Amino acid sequence: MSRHILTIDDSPSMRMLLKASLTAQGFTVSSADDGAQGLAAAKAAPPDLIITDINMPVMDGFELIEAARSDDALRLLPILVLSTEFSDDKKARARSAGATGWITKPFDADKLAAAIRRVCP
Amino acid sequence: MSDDLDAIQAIFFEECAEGLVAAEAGLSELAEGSRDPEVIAAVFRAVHSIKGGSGAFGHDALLGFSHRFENVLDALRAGRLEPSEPLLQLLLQSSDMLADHVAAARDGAAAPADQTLAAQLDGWLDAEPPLAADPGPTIEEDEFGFAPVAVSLDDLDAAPSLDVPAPWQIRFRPSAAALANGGEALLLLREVERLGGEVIACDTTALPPLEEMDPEGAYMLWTLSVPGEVAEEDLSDCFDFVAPDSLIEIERTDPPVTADVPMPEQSPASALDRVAPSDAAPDATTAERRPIERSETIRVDLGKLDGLLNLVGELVIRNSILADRLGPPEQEKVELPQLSRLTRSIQDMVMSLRAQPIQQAFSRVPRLLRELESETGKKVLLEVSGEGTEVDKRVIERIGDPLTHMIRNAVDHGIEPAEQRLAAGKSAAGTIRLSAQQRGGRIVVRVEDDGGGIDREAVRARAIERGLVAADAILSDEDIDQLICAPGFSTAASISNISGRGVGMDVVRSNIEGLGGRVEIASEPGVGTSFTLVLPLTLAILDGMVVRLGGQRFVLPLQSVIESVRPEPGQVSAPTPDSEVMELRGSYLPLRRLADFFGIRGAEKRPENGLVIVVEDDSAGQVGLFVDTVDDRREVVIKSLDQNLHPIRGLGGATVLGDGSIALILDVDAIVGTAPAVRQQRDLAA
Repeated sequence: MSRHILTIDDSPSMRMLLKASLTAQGFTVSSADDGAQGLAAAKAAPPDLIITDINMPVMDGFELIEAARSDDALRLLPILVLSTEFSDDKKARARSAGATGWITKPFDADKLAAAIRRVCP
Repeated sequence: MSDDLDAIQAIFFEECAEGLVAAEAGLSELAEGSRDPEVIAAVFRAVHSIKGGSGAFGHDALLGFSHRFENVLDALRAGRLEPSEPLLQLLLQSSDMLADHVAAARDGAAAPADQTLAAQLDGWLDAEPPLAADPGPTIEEDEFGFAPVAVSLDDLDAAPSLDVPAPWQIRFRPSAAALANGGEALLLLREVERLGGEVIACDTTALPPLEEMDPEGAYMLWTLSVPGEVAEEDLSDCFDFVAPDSLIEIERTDPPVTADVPMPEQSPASALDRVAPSDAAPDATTAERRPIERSETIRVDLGKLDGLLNLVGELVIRNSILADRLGPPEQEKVELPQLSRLTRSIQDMVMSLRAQPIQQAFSRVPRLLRELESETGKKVLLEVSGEGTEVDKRVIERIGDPLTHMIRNAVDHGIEPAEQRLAAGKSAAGTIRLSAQQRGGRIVVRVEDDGGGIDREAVRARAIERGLVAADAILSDEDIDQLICAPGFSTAASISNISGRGVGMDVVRSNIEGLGGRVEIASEPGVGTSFTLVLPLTLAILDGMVVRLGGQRFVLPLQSVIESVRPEPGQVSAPTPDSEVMELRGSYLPLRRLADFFGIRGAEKRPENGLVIVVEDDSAGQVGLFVDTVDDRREVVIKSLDQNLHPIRGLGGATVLGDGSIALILDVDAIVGTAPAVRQQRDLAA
């Protein structure tokens, strides 16, 4: 049973790129366009890992992580942030919201794979 | 595989186009005085997304510029910068530059020269930490950890030895917070094991008795040993997600012997290279990846789509042939009506594949306007509506130049200079309204300005000077307005060097007519001018009524047909020798004899032996068209005439009928709406 990763990013090409990369590594990938859709999708079918963007319309990555952490089913779920942001205060904010890890775009497929291994059983 | 990446990249560029439109729209709103944080956030997001993708696809120049642009937007978003007029001007210019960068990246062209603009952008951030401290998202900088990992600086300074370096020793105790956020210590230990490390000790002294233990608490301290040749960076990467209150110590067991060896080089390969196995060595994952990606979006060559469209057209024709050959009972028996419905659905679907929002064509207008503003010194506000209207892709491709010219025309000839506007009691800034809407089977695109209207005296004088009309010709206002579109009216030596460059209105008209549409001009002195492009919704198939004129068959588009009537004797009368009217239910309808319009001999002369088809036109209202008889109603596939013949007024194309013969398709609007002016003008222009 391959592991299920939910990717949340408002950019279709980024979603496709992630999907191409992750599918090649044997993951089952679903995706959502923004935090609100992502949260709904995660609640409906909790994935093994969420990879989320920060800057998105409707609900951003920080809000998504906070909402996931206050949901019983998603409380302990590993959530990786994948963002072009790299400032320390943004990372600190993500951490205090409850993110498990942070990867900076543009991502490298090998590093992404390693990062996933470190957070996803 | 490279196909897949090309496809993803193509989607990235589509996103860029959307992002640029969004950024443009948002910045324009800000320039007009909006201070809505949502608008600023939307602009930021748009630029941010472009930056994100550009890095992923290795477009470094685009990445660099979008990064600078984004920094300033971020400062604006966070309130560190005020949206002042000069800043907004710079941001608008940056948005244009970004568009140039995107185009260059897409076309594989050299990146535009952005140094000046980039320096200006950086200049606004002077109050911010200096740029040197902000290296930007370089490709090498792939990953950032949360924790300032506890790495001994002594070891960093000491270069690894050529001999076998001393093994690493790691002490690791995760905090409860690390576990609470989905951090799983076991996975980190496994990752270290992948690097060749092993757990050599586990300190469990902090472990409470079972009944007191919090299952989500953290109590263990592990000591690991890792072979010395493992790169320090790989080790610290393992722990870079761990929350800062965890204990992480990475040290060499012995100070290594010094010898200078370069650190293992980080390949600056873009994510693209990593995702893509090289074509020379396809790997096993390629095959399984394909179908999954394709299920989301696929990019299709337009040629294939057109091929499909043509085939659907053939299918429609075959349907007609079957309908011709079979009587109604047989049609039912072979389920022809069902087949026809199915064909129609396929046809609609194929047409919808080609439909795109007209926004794509509208999106370059704001930039054009800014250029025109700086060239002419006039201020122009743009109002856009109906940009979501979907039109055929070919229309979008072909409407760009006409649109550009009409906007140039409106700014140059339409909108008056500010002083003149103020003197006329208008606002100093002119307004151009750009709109699109679907009306029945047509798309109506309109460019309206609130300028001085067409200077008919000047147009008339110019037309006479150019020999387009006789000096003593009697022309109505509409005739004069139409002269703007006459070939030869617009030349390089035109009144202005702005509108004079590129194409003239005659080219606009022929472009639009090439699409099966027409151009309407309305102008009121002192109030403004509007150019309306009326385009067919579909360019391929239409519902038609087959009529006969002197033995020849023609197709009348059904969308303009109201009814058909056989005149009673006396119902048709001629108040003047050139104009006939028909009395219909108490009102009089202008009557046009199609045979006369096209000069067809042998057609029915007596009204009571023929039929009058009542058609409706946007401008002319209801008009009766006199034909010999009506054959039937059918769907026809439009074949363009211009490849073989000159465009002929009154004809919209040709089609193949069920029996294989060719019928010409009538352009009702051209025949009815603009007929008198058109004929007159054609004579004038000839």
